[in-house]
Amino acid sequence: MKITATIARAFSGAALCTVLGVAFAGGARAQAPASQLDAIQSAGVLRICTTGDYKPFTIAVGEGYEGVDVEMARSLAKALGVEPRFVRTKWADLMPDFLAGKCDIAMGGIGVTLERQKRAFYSAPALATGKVPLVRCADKDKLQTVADIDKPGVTAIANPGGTNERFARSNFKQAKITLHGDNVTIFDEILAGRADVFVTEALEATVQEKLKPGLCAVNTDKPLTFIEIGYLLPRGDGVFKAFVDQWLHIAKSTGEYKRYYDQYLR
Amino acid sequence: MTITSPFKGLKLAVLSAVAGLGLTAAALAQAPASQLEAIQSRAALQVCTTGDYKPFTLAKDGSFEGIDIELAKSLAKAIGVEVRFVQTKWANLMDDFTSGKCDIAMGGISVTLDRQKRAFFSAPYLINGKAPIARCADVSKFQTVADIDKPETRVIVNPGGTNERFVRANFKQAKIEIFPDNVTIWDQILAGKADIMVAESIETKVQEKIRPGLCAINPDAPLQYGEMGYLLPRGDVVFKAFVDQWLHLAKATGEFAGIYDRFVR
Repeated sequence: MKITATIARAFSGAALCTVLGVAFAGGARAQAPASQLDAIQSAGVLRICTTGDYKPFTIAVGEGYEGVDVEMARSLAKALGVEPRFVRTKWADLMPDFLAGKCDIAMGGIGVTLERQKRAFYSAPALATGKVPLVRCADKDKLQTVADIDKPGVTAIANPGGTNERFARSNFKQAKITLHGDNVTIFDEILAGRADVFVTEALEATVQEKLKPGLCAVNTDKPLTFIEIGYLLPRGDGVFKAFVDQWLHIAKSTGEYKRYYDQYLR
Repeated sequence: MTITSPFKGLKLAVLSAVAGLGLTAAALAQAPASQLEAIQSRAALQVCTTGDYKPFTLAKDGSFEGIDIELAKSLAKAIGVEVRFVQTKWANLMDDFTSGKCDIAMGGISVTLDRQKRAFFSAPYLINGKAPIARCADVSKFQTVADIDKPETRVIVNPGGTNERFVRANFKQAKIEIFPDNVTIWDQILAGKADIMVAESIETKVQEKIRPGLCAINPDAPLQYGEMGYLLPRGDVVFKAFVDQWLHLAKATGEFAGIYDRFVR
């Protein structure tokens, strides 16, 4: 029992020290919280998780990357005065990789979702987008809304398995839905008259409008669905978020962001 | 018994440690220490300012005047404390601020990402940037950088600052003349010894007012984007929330515009 008490006391003492230590550290942190902003500058490197598979945001090309958000990542690294280092991830591994500390920020067409917000911070939105109809230009006026499209006699086409098919299934009850497995030739189906409309991401629709004369993207400034693109940041790190938001705000105000956007979309 | 007891003791010790941690963390999370309290405790708002940048901050006979001086007084009043100005120099601004000589720095401070590494900024209170100023007869021929950057154009600039940096980076054909006197540099244009100067857009508005014959060119659509904000302690979101709210109200009520017009219009 004597031994017990001693051990217990010793441990209480240790525990007290721990509590005091933490309280003290906590007090100091309120004035100068540890931030990834300092860790990045000490390391001399900004690590960016990116999937490299989402045009026009992040595209793996050989050993390197290109795209709007890849240019933005380089711009952020330059603002920090460090080298950018891209860390390849997959959409399914994005959150686990990010939370495991494999990178400081994740960039590349990442949609803002509340599911991810539970485990991370987002920058201010870089871009607002959503799904729009892509149609033959002659049909531009008559296929504007979900109600316009959802009529017998209209054929909506979709690539299977993603959010485009999900959108078609949940919104079109009267129109005929055709699935087309090839993401490259799906646009020609509309030009050939085998389908009338493809509801897809506004940015993709804009790209295809340029590539395929005769196709028109409808109301790209007023999408049928709403999604924001943002950058994923460590949860709770207000200092790093303030830096990234300020950099993004300036990049948008000076026209730098638009320059990258036009480079990959125009 | 002799074995279980120590473990019980251990468990208790560990438990209290964990409970203590939980409590400390919870208390901190709810009420982080903020400069907002420190300012109220000492009943004074300490404002770093350079006192050399018209129309924002100008030292005069031992006191200060300017847009940001009036706004500093307004902020102090909103907090319910006295204002105390701490004079600094541009070269010492960040060191003075981060070493705690003041709670906020005000006076024509441009938002830059280098400063953002070491401090927070309030919401921007002014969009600013570089604008040309020329004789009023020449306004239509000097609208863009390309208009100005011709061999026959004589650009005048004060050395060493962002004006010279802008001129060197953007004008390759025009003749550049360095003129070190910030007060008489404007008269060189009026006298026909130079054609154009590029300066902060708000400064061009002030000079247009005090020197008839000079016209600011598109000062509200500057050649280079910039904005001004107030420097705040890094990570102190409570104080930043207060300052941003005060600034928002000063703008919404017209208080800001009233002060601005007094010094610029």
